[in-house]
Amino acid sequence: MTLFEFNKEKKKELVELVSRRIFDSYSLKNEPDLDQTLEEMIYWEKKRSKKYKYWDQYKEQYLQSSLETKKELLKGSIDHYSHQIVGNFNPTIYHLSAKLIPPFLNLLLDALSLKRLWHFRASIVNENIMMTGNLPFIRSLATRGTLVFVPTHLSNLDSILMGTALYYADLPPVMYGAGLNLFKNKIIGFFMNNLGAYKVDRLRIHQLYKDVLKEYAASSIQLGFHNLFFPGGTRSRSGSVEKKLKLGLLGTSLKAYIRNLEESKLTPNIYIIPVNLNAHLTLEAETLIGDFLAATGQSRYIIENDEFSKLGRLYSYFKNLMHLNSKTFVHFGDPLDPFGNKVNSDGKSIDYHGRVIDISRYVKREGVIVHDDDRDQNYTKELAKMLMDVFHCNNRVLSTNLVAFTLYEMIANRYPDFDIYKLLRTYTYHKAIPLKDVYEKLERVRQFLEQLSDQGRIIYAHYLKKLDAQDIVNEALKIFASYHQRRTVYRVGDELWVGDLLLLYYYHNRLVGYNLEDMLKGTL
Amino acid sequence: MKKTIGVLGSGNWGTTLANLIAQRGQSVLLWSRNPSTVQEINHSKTNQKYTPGLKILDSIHATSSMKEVAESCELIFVVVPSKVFREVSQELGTYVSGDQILVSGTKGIENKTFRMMCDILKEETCCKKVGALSGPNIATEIIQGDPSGSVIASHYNEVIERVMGALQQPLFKMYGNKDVKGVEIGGALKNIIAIASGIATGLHLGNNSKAFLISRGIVEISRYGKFFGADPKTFFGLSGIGDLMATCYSEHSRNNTFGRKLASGQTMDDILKASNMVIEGIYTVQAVQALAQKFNIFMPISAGIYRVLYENANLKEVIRDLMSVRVTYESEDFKEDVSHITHMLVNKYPIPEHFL
Repeated sequence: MTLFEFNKEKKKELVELVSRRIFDSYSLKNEPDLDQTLEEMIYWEKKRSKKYKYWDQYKEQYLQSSLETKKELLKGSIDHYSHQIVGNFNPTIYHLSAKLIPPFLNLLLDALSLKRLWHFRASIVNENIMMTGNLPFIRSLATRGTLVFVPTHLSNLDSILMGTALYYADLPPVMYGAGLNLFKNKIIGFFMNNLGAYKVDRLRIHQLYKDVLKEYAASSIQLGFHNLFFPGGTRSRSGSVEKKLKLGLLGTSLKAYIRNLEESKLTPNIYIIPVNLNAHLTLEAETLIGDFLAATGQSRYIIENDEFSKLGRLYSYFKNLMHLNSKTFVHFGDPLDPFGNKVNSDGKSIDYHGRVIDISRYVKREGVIVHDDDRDQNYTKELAKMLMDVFHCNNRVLSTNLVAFTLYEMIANRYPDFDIYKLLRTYTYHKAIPLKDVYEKLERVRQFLEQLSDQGRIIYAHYLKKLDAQDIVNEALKIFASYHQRRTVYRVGDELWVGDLLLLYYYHNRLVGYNLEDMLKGTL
Repeated sequence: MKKTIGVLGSGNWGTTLANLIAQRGQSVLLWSRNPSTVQEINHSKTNQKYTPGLKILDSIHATSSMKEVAESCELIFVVVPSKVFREVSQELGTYVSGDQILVSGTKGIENKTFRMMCDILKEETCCKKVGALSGPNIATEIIQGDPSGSVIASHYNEVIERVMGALQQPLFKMYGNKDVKGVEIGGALKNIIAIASGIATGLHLGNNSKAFLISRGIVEISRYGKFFGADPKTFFGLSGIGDLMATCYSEHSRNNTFGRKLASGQTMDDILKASNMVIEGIYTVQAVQALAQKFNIFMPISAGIYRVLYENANLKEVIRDLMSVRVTYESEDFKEDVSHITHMLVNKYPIPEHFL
């Protein structure tokens, strides 16, 4: 089933299914547990809405209620959340918005020539978004089961990028969760509201809401609607490839698969498609890395005033990057099943030796389907482990990351006992780095990366292989100079100067996790 | 309903394990590659080569068909030497399905890949529910009926529950653990310390020396485990210090015996030729030495044993070097290196000539 069939009836069916399932599981709880659920909900709703009077009255009413009335109050909240989360899909707007992208890009490229707006080149999308991976295979899987796309996440633009990529790759549209804050932008909100996005209110962090949200994803996958979610949960603050994935959300695919088996569906399979998104620059880099350092591990989950909400920055980002012919890379990885196994061309799961596996047996004991939360959590951990591995192997080396990595490591190696905080406080910005040294070190980093690429542990593009160190540095400098308000790194004569060590650190982080630092110790 | 439990490997520990399971009243399918062993177990109910004196229980049936084991059992223990563990697992992988539970009873590290046994099971089969069985389990003592215990480590509760159910009995107490890495590392690395302990016994060193060796040995194992993500607390349980003490003090321990023979002047080749048992420690030390060097993990005892086995180093020289390593605080929490006083101490208190 595709989103084109997500009509009023289907929408109603989905909302009712989600509400019923959550209510059924919660109504099994005893009264103290139910009280705890409601107390938690009231606490967070009060904090979120600031409607103290309303929630105080609500609490009073609930405290005086019988168990049955409490259940009714609970049901009311569950229904409210389900209706609030549910998205829409309008096929006309879907086609229209996809067709608007090329003229939009054309406009950015040639802003002075508005008359050429409608004489656009449709190929402009392909010129700016490079899609790689086994696309015919993924297309074929869309008819054999339900697809769940799980991309890496750097920017709020990623949802739009994924939507465009799927359309132009001839892959079906997907349901995806988007932060409520994104709907505040009226133009973007309009499109999101009609393109299958469901609303995720990140200020509601209580268990009941999270469960409704997860159930929405699980039930929609089970109904056969292709889905997309960012498994890292939020944009990577440090700029590195995802190091930890949200297991709750990831586990919804397994939940849906087990339900499909129980209902003896003809196509019960769920296919997880890892997607690597890489771009030379990140729109919100300054805000994200600032947030990462401000509270490592406790980053704000929601940032409302970043570059995404500033039209000027958005325009500058697109325009400059397109003029530089800097592509955005979307790599579709090999599909996996909900247990982390690879899938063969027939859509069947296979082990490391290519032997076909009957995956239904993973959830059976003595031939019967058994529900076991601990087992399923472990299966999901296996999937997450596999995904993180794939994300690292399909990460693409770009000139900006390569130059930032080399330069940052050269600086960090001068102060081996310093962490990033100490380095930022003490780094002398007026200290230049001779270009000759940079070329030499970059050549070494690049050799290591090419070795890793040969082993399939990273993607080192062929075009980059053809460039020498000088060309790579020149390309990166040009791109760095194009968008950020402060120059990350710039050239003065035969020397390089770091203008923003924090941004340098951010772009460097994309190549962390390959033991490159250890390999380079002593050589830099 | 598959109630039969499979055991792959009819060596010393495999046969003992099969008997332990059978004592619980469960039928066991014991796989051996050797047809004469299969025949001996099925007809004479003995396995003279590996478990002399053990009366094999009637509910144990031996087979040389791995397919039969895989198709009849939902719980399978793999108890074959680490050198052939991958080969056996790969064959098993052609027959098993995802609902089965595989448990490694082998303590070792694969040499070329540095993989632990549970990793190999996951790589070579489609099974995800895997676990590692480890603990102070000297087969001869279990056969004698001495009380003992073991740890089953798995991320899956189901694996822990099923294995406990299969092995728990009055004289054999089972414990569960979720730290698979820690349990496997403890089981594998203790064999190296056991060789060192055997050498100490062979050199007639006293209990002080042995206690010193065991204590520093567990610290070394713990340091290694911590580096690879294990929980240091695991090494102070049955699969860590428990297994280490048993193997360092037991005359029946293969690795310990190997060390004793080495101290008496025999060469590694001579000892191996004369024995029908696998000495896991001699392979494990190769992997540990390679990884310790690669990641700069301080493993002085393992390095010493490696030098004795593979670089023909003199035993006494190795002990002297071990006693001269950098002086540091006993607790790993104190990071301060006090090597600045090492030189002074070693020169002030040289190791007596008569010892060397």
